[in-house]
Amino acid sequence: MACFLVSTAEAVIVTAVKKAEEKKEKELELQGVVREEGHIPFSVKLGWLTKMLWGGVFLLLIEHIYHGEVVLYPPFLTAMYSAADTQAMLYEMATVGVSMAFLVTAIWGVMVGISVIVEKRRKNAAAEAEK
Amino acid sequence: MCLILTVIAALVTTFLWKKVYKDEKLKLFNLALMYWGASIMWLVDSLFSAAYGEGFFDISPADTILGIIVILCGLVMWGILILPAALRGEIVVSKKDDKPESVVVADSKVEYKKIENTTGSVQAPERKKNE
Repeated sequence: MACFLVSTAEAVIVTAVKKAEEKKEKELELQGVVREEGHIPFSVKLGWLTKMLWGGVFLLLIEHIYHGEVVLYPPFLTAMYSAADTQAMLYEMATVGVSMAFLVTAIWGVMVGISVIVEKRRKNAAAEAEK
Repeated sequence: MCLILTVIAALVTTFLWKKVYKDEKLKLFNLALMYWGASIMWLVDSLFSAAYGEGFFDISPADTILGIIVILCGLVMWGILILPAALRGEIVVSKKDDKPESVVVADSKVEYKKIENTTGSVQAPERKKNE
């Protein structure tokens, strides 16, 4: 019905956080703080999450338009026409929508964990090579 | 079927990004993340459908058409993302094993100079001996 709206809200928040992080990293760069070679900045890692969220939201929006659950005129969501449908929509958002956003974020967390391990291994290998 | 097709699209795109095409401006990673995001969201949707007694997979023709539309929409969005770089002629479609033409030319020039120098230095003493 409108489960993708939860992911949309998360995508908006994560995009704002990413922008703030990018700004912070740029300021550090201007202050002369040198980034370690091979280190992936946190803003880039947040970018993976925003791409997954926005991409997923976009494709789910297409699916909802196809099923006639989203229309291009107000109130945009056909579930808004009756109180019973609106209640069902809110229930779906609270269950399916929250689960979707949670699983995408959890998988992104695994991706970040793997990238941190890879970065550490590369760093150790470079340190051993120097010795 | 929509879930299956999107997962296949995500796997193919990830393979192309990781193993075949190297140009970052192609943004294949973004396309893969978009498909993975949607796949995760539909996976959750299918799990809830199965929990409520509906089938996990919907293999109806209508859902197959939806899957194809979704993949095409993803490709269109990806096309829009890479369009500015493509118009500027910045995208070089080369496989991971290939070297871009410009690099090959530069390498061959360097190699040519090296060969010239080495042959020159080898030939010089021989001439002295002959004299």
